[in-house]
Amino acid sequence: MVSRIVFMGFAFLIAASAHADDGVVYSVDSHASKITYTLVHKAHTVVGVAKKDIDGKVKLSKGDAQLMVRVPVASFDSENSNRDTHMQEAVEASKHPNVELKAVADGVAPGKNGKAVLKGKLTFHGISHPVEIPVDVIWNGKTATVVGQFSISLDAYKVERPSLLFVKVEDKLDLAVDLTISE
Amino acid sequence: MLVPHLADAAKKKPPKRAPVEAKTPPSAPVEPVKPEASTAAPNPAPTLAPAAAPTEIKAAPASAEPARKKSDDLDFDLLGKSDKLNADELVAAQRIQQLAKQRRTMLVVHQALGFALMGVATANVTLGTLNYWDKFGGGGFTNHFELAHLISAMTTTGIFATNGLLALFAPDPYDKPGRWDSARVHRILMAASTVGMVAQIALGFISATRIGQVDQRDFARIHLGVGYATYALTMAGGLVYLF
Repeated sequence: MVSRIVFMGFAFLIAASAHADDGVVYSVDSHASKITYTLVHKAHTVVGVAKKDIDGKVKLSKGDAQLMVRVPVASFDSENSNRDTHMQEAVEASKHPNVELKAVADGVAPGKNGKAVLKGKLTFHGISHPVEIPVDVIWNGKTATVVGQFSISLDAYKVERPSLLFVKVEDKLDLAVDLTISE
Repeated sequence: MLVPHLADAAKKKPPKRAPVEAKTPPSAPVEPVKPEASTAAPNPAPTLAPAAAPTEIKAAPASAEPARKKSDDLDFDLLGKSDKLNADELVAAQRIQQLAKQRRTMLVVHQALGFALMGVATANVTLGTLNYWDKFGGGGFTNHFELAHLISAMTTTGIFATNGLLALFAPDPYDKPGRWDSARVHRILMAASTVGMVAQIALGFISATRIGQVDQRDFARIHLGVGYATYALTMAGGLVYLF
């Protein structure tokens, strides 16, 4: 009987330590998060926002963070349906429906507010490139917001730049992430 | 049982070796991962040089780069692989892209004809005004502008009709929610302009065949007014895309 209790105690400790090593996984709150793109054309600036269908998880373990976020390109809304369908045509949304970010960061821990740098890769239009995104992490209890901005080149992702009135948009696409994560 | 001097050597910790994966100097930035090999190891394992002597252990040089951190590894998956398209879905996706390409071609031609329409419509309104002035505004009824106005009117109508058909028959493979945006305003303005164009054709013929009748001037005046309104709707329908 005593040996059984001791054995179960050991088993519990091992399981607990294993769980601690696995880290804590946080989910992105799709309704409280948004990803914004900004594209410049000579006639006007286009801003598209994805405020739904953002699928993401963040795993924190021993001061390190692993992040993965996936959002359908059809979720981006620029308040112009023609423009949005043109955007889907340009990025071949039927073949590459999602844009995905996978990254890691050091120095991120529950309750620790501060800056971090997400280093990873962005997969867009079926093509992956490395990215580095400086972010601010702000904790509020067991919830955190992760806010950051970065830019990519449409030509680098082989996206045919849309044009309006026979003038193409600029190559630079600014992206801003505002993610709310919770346990 | 170990020989004493070998036992002493066994007790000593060997000096730290530089890890064999280290390749880049410490001041160099982390090498970006190439797209086609995004999941492959960035640095292939180098072949080891033969040791100079079996017992010689060289101390690690002070400038060696520390081992690549495990935390930098992107070999994880928190969301599960996104669903790859199966064969049927791939065929459907290809079809959508074909239709999208066709749509893009038709709408590029539509834009080009739109610009041409604005130019020809401007010429037509100008010639129509001159024609009205010549006949009913004290211009002497010389008929100098009648043929030019007829040709510009037919050209305007032809381009307008072609452009409208391009827009109506352009495929629309992606789902599009209905909303109040510049595209919808454009369609409403062009629909109203179409009504004006049809009225203009009718009024133009009527006023041209009423030569010598007392109401010819009235029909001509209505034709002029509807012409200005149709022109304004057409121009507004094109310029709305700038906003």
